[in-house]
Amino acid sequence: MAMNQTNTPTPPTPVAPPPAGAGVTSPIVVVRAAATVLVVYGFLVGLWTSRSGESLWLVDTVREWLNRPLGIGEDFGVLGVMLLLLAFGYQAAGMSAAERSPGRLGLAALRLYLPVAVAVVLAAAALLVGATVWVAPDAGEVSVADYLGNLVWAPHLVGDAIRLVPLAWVPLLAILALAMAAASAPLRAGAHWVPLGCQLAATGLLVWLGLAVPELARLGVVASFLPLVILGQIVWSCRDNGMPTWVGVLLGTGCWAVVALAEPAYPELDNWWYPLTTVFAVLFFLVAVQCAGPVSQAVARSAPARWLSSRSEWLLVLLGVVGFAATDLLTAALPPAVALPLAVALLCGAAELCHLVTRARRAG
Amino acid sequence: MNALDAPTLPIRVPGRLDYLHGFDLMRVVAAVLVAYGHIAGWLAAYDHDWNVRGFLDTTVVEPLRLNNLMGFTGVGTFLVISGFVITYVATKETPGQFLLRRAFRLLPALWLTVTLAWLLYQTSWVLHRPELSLGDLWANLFLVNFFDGQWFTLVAVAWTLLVQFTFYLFVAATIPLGRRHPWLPPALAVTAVSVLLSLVNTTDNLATAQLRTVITFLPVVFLGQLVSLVRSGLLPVVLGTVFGILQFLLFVRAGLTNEGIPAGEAHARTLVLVVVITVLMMGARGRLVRSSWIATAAKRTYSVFLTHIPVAYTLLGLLTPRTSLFVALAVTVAAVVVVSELVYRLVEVPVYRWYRRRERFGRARAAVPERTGT
Repeated sequence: MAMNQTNTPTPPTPVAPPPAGAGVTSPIVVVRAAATVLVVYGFLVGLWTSRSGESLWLVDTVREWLNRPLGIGEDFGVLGVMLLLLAFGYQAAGMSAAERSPGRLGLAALRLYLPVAVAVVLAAAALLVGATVWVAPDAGEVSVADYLGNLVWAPHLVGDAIRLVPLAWVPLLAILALAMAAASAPLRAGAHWVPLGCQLAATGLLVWLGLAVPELARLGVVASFLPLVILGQIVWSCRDNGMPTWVGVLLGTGCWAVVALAEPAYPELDNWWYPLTTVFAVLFFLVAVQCAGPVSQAVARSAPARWLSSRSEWLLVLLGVVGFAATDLLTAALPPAVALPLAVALLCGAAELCHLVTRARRAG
Repeated sequence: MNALDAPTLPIRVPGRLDYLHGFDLMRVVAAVLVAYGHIAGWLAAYDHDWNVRGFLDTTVVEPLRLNNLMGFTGVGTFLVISGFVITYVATKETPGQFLLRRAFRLLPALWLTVTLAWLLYQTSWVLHRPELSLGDLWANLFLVNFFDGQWFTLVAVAWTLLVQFTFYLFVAATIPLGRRHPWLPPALAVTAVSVLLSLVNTTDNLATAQLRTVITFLPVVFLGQLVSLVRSGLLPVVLGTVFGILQFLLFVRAGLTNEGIPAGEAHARTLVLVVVITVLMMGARGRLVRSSWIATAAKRTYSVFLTHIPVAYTLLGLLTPRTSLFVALAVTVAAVVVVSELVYRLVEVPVYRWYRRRERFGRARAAVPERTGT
């Protein structure tokens, strides 16, 4: 009689790692993809609808059924940004020794800066030809100094000059994440909590500085999002680097406290409920990282997730230029419900084009 | 609240036996939050300024935009965990067995607390209500007081048991279906809640208002059920997520279509926070969650849940005019601990053990072949 094969334990089927780029784990691909969708929805579809005074059934319904009950404002845009920052921090903390070499770090920083520079140039060009782009505060006269300042993030840090790419501070924090994680690396093996604590203290100092020096208020506002980058590093350290959970919880509470203290202190942040959004972002990120299984891997292997994850930096900065300009042009002839999806398609096309060109140049 | 189910029952997942220690910690925190809400509410009603409340309001409630006094954080946690645990135990029991075991777990402590509270109201102490009759006692023993305004409510928190019992009846009725098609009970649950929300939306009288309350909070328990089914591998993640989103939207719909139920703005976000934390706590295995004092405290959460209001309100009423707030609170907390320990040791555990012994004895008798007389 043949042996009953069903009694033989079968080894688990090996799951191939997602082909989403070296060093990018499947939960991070999923988080980055989801965050990119939220950012585009929030800062293009939601924001354009609010600014133009149009009413879209989808946006109104999502606001009534999800945004207001959950207390997550700006049509999930900031939640998306926070998830991206967490992912940046997590990825930066997990860099290998080779990835932390000056050359590789510089290349990674350049990869983050390039979309900002391109978006600033495009925004300047669009303003010159009279197109509508998303700038903050709303455009008055734009000087050459403004253009040049935007290329080095000056209006995001000092004064109240016009910001041609309002979300350009996100890649800046991602570059900072690289720097902070690289600087923390020597202590990674033993006392990782020390550099993380120092980062937290420095962040608190920057937030305080923004309050103490009115010219640096923008810096304080941007710094109030740095805790998300640190939280990403804390998650990596607890999960992959053996840091005790209670240390992570203490440091994480400190990070959240900075966000919570900054909210009422800065008029620009007041009543946006960012401390709550931060908690949601961290919890969703933890679930994505902790509970990653076959479904997460399947999603991460899918073409849309890989595409969104790898083009997120481009989509983030181009949405205010390409997305807004395209929507404004298209709505002249089409209803918003048609114009917005077309604008999103054009935005995706622009992001793809920029990605291909820069990748080809890097490869060349 | 069947907070005592899990500590004695290991949660089995396919291929291994796994006790979810994280839920013990969640139960303890939930019990503390529920008790805090009621005590802080009583102190506010009698114009006592409590620094702890001010601190928590500033550091937690306001930044997270939670309900006043953190309402629903504790009850929501209990309901989600209950949905999780009950779904697990139901997979191994027959419908009758399931209902009887739940009844022997929950009712004795409830009945004792109701009787003690009724006696307390008969005394000339703080909670003096001489007009209470035996009818009030009977009505409270069977939770009729929540549907008929003529009866006084002795144990206010017992309304959550109505949500529990409704869920139990649903689970018992769908046990045979769930064994063959695990996706079917959650699908029925979504349909049933949706239809009931459409049908019951009048709050003209106490009965319909209470019914609406039960229906409103059913999605909370069903979300726990879905987490359990996905965790045990009986429901695919995608399907569980879809059902979960639908249940959440039903909870939101309940709030959008009724002004008074649930009372508070923050229920939906609190629910999402609780569910996500529940998912994360399934993997918690640290020293804190495994500590024996957490396990010990977790076992007593049901009795704390039931007894804290009569004990706390009586003692606070007696002590706050005569002593400092700190002393009054310290004595109150100690008394809640002692009373709940007594209820747990003298009622909950003995009665349930007695029932399980009787159940085993009955099974053993049924297994002995009868003599045929030949």
